[in-house]
Amino acid sequence: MPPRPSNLEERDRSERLVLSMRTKLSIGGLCFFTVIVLLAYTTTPYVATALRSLGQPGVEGPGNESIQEKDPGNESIQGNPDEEVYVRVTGALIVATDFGLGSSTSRVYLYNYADGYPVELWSTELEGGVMSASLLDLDADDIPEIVVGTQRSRSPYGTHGSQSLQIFKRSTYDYELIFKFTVAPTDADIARGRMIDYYDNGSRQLLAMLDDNLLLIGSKSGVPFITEYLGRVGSYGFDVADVDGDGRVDIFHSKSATEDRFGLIENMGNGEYVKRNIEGPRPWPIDEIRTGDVDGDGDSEIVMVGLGAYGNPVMSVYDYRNGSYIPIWILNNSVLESAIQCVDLGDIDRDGILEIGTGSGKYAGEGLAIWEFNETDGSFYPKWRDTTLSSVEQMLSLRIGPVDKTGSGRLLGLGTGKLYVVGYELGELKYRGINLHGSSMDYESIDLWILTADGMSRDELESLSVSVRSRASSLDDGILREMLLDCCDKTDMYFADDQIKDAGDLITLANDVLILLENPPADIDSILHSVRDYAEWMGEQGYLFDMLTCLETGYKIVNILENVDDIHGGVLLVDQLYEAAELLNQSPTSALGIAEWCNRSDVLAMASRIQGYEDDWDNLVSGVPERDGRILKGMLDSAKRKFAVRDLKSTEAGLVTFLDRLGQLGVEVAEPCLSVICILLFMMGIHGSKTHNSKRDLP
Amino acid sequence: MVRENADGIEDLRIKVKEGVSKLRGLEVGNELSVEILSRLAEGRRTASELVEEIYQVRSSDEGFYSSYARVRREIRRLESKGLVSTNVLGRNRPYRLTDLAVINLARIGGESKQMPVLPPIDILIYLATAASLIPLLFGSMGRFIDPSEMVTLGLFGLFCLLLGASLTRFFQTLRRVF
Repeated sequence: MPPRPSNLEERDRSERLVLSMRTKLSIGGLCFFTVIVLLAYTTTPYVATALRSLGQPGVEGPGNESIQEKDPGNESIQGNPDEEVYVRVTGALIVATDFGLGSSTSRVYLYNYADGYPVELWSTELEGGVMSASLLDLDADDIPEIVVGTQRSRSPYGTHGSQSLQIFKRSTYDYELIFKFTVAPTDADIARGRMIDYYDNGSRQLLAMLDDNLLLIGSKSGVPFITEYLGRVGSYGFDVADVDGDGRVDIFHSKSATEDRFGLIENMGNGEYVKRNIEGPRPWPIDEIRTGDVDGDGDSEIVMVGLGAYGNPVMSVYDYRNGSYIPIWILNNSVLESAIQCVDLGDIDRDGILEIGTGSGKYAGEGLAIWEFNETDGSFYPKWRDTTLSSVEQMLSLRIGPVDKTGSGRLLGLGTGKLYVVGYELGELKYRGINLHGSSMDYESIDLWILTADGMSRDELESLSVSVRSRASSLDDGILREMLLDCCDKTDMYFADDQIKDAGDLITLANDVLILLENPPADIDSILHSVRDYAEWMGEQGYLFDMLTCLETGYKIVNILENVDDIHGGVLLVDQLYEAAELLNQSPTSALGIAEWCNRSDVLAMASRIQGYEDDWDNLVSGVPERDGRILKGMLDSAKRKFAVRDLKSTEAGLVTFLDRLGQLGVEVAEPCLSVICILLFMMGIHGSKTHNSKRDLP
Repeated sequence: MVRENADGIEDLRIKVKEGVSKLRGLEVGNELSVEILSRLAEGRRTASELVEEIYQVRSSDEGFYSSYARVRREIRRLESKGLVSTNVLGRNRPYRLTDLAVINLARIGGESKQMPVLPPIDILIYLATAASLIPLLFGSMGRFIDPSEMVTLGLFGLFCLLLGASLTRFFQTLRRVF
């Protein structure tokens, strides 16, 4: 074969650049359909949200419970006498966050507080430390989203990493991240978000703080997006309220640490806002701002707390009087010799006036306190205080709200690994600590979402009262009968005073007791058997400590059940014991939670026993072969884990209950249906196109 | 008689003119293209076989490579128009006419117009598929007047329908030139 001329080779190369039609079509088609499919993939959350909204007309659970938003803070749940509607609190969702010091990650936890103690529903791990968490309903579907602010690269001496605002929305079985906005590294703090009707048009947006900036975040079809930057403000606190009584909600915020004042973004109407500064004594720097009616004058006041450095106060209360904002009370650090790091307002004593709940950092001296307005001299005095906590706990966040069926406000403060609940018990303000996830947890932020039942009209409540009185009268003479009839008398008094909420809370609680009395729990013998069965099962598994705990707690519960008529003021206890019996049939470890509710000292005794075993470990295992020592250590560690985490099985059961209550049946059916419809449409498109093309191709 | 002959010539002239016009529409511009298409219409041929048949030269002859390059270049041009194709894999890859070429060659003598590689209706379907995605995209970005859930799901359904149609049309188009 003769050699090929070089010019032909060059021509060959140039010819290779001429692509055949099939190559051009393949490349073009691949690009086109890849782009289309990728874009379509990005819209799937939006379509899924639309589907969920379609299949979810109302989230209803067993009975008449549903989830409705109630601001646990400064909005009273008190029914309006004009409308005469009573909404009963059935529990609360709690979001708590771990700052994760010493770790590259931290966690967000969601708890259900319906049964008097928190049961974990969901948690997730996030990069960096979570500095704030809120439960807010962005898309007005009556189901709260979880809004968290995170910061990377933090240390005990400061925070200098990038900040993110992340929003999680509840899906069928989980919470999904639907929004994430990150800013460059900063040392600013992140405050809890608030909802505000910024444009005065009836729709509410999320007001969030990130890198010392206020962001306004709206939501369309469940998808959040930033609508406006409201400008630079200071770190930490802000709140929204109509303090000047002009009918429009203003924004109050801290200024930068170098500025000796706090700021106001005043709503002038029609979406116009004007920034102002308010001079006067106030904490420096400000840690948190809350607004609410704390002096009972019918309008809101501004409460600020903070470090109180350089002779500045640690708490200030401002009111709008005679056209200006003036301090009506200040608390100097010379009085407390400590800082206050968190504050919230709520009606704990049910007098219609909000109390101020405060918490301080570790070793700061103040601990937890509840302050009440003194009408005689216009000051605030500590109605309740526990300074012992300050030496062991760092109270960085607290919330006040009604979290159980009593409807009374309770203060929930986050300590190290513990949730402290302060409220009235048998007429006295007391606190109790509940272990959440072990003492190593370093909690940073907490927020509440109040769960309520369907509203009841005044007429319905009055007829319920009549029914309770009639049914209680038919009971045998005894303490319970007298107590229930007394409840009916008090309810009538509340009705006479138009105190619908008090009447509703009391009579519905009495009705619950009557229902239990009319439908007593399973017989004691069967509960006793189940306790022994579980103890045996525990023994088979080798969990000696759990077996002991199960037997001790189970016998205690059975003992109380046998003597239930002798318990004074056992209205709540009967309810709790009934649930305890139910839980005991499902999970022996949950008996610890019940034991804590029934008698805290027992749980504390168990904790001290574990501690005692650890302290005396060397003596305990002296002379024991090494292998057996390791096994014993494993058993003790297992007991510790179960004690700290407690309700593994009931957490799962709680999750199932939660999902049942949120009523996802509609979505579960609709989602596969939509998939089938889409596939059918797709096939229709293919079939229609084929038919058309086959006719058209004929020459 | 003369009149009839004159009419016949006129008809023939019109047909030839239409045929040439359609051939131009087919972008078969020269005699070599017609020769290649006519040879391939008889059956598959490699480039060497086409050169041997058209120019009557063998690979051992001196002018083979210049003829080979000319044929090869013309085949490339026809390939880029989607009229000629060959196997994707294999050592010996003979050329053949594509379905598109067969359809369009068959239409030269008929009333039907030439079929383009991308018919207008196909382009319309592709554009409609992309267009049906736009409101969904804007909706997902929150930059759209909030439609009702039924509208959103309807749009998604329409998108699925159009995606199915456009995918089918695309594969049929690809098959015509493969």
